[in-house]
Amino acid sequence: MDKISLLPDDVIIHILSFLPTKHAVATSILSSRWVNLWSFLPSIDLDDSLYVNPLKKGSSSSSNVMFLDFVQRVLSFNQSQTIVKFRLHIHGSCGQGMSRINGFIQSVVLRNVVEIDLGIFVDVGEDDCCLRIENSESLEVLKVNSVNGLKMPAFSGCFPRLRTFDVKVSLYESGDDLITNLFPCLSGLEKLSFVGDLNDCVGEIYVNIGGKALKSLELELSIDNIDDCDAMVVIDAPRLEYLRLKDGFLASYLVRNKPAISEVSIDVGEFDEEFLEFLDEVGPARCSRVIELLHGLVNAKFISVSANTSKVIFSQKWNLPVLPSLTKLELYVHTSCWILLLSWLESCPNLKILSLIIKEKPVDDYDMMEELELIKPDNVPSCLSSHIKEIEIKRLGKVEEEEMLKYLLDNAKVLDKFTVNSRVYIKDGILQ
Amino acid sequence: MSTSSSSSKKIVLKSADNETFEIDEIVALESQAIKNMIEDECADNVIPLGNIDSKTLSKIIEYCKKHAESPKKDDNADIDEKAVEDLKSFDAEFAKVDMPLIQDILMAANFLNIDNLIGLMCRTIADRIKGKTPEEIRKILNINKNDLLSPEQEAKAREENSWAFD
Repeated sequence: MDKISLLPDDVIIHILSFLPTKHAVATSILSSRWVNLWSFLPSIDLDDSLYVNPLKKGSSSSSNVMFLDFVQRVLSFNQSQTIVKFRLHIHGSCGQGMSRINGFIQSVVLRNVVEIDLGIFVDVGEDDCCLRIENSESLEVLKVNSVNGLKMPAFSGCFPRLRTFDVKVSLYESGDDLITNLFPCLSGLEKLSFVGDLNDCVGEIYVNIGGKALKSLELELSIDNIDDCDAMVVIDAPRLEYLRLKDGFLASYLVRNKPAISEVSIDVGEFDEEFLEFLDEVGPARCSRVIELLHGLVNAKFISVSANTSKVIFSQKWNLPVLPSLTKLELYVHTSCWILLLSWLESCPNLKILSLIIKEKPVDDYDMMEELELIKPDNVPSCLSSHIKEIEIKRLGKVEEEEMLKYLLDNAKVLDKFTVNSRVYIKDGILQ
Repeated sequence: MSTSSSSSKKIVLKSADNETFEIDEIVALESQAIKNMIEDECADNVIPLGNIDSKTLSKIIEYCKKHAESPKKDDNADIDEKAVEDLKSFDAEFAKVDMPLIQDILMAANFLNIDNLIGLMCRTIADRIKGKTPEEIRKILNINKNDLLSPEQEAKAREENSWAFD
């Protein structure tokens, strides 16, 4: 026998486990030694984009039935006691496929699956179908990625070990399983990444997310038509350590219990003219949502604010709430932003590290010209005079900003480190 | 690495072609099999490895030295990222050897029970056969022609799993 065939089964299976399952199954014809080894694979990775025969690819519906038959065969022949990981990604059409996919999920759950990674990148078509995941003692990681209106998976039973849930789906109405059923089932969930589109929704959609164990939350919502739909988000996660929020329409966020979050990243609202006109129409209540959100984050230690959100805050000149725990602030802005920066400094009395990233200024944006005027406040913000140790400014672009730079340097009395990345010549003396 | 006495203690390994290698005990402990022998006190001064030739054994010692020197993941939660990167690039370089030697190392690593090295070699073999035709794989792995399936068996297997062969 050749050298490799002398290796014990488990070592050859270990080699196969690094291959996509399609290629692992194809090793069955290498020699008599390899015929059945693929059927012991502890992890299954099936992706119909590996279907490379261009002649047959044209008739996608029949080739896809073939693909699902193949998935069925791989699962039913599998003799491994547990299937540690099950990855299934489908890009071709899968008419009637959902019930079969649910069958696959059920069969791997019965094999004590630890990680499920589903990618459903096809139009599922049927209205009443969704992924169903039932009662798993072993499941720790669940990923569901989709396009074209896949609904939230329906959970039933208990998932005591589920720690990580990444999901990208469409929401249809309040009372979707996300809201009513999900979180009581997933009591051990520590990490949630939820990307949802509300394109088929009308009216106010309520999204309640929380959990006693939840430490990391990423929430991205999108809406096609901002005039017809709105989202009300309630986050109730007392142990939250990381929070990232992104939307293009400025949803309403209520963060309960004021968790002491280590890192928050906020990118809500949109920078374009259309959205700013929309804000003018709907009135100041909409803009004050950023302020309401910040009220829930008063115990946060590090906040990063996108240029979109900076613009929304600036456009309304709202007073920011005091953020006594904040020691690090990262501010992305589209233009020199003197007033905005001052109001942040005034609301962060214990700030130690300030990072300012100036992005390219859009050409058609004239309404901010006025703020280039430097207005020196009567009192220097206390954080600047007594706490800030580190200032970093990236992509300083205009001569006018020199004044701002000078003000910061003159008044930062305990500064240890100052980094500036500039495209303009800075006068000698300022950086002394 | 835990105490100075354990790091200075020496172990001698003897290859199939009677070459001896004196290494620190801490390096030898990367092998679960040798570790068990030492713990059960059934290791003499010299551990004979009658199925591993000196070329393979010196490669394995090179690997174990590097991994024994690197801080272990469970020692420290916020482990130096540079050390992790360094180990990664060492592994990548280490695996750049011909297929017969990879197979020898894998077989020896399996015998000596060195988990990380088994994984590294299995991944390397998988990377080299990924996307290749069965004929190419047989050549890469040097699979013995006497063990091939009969044409009927092969046709049957291809038909049953036709999706895998498209």
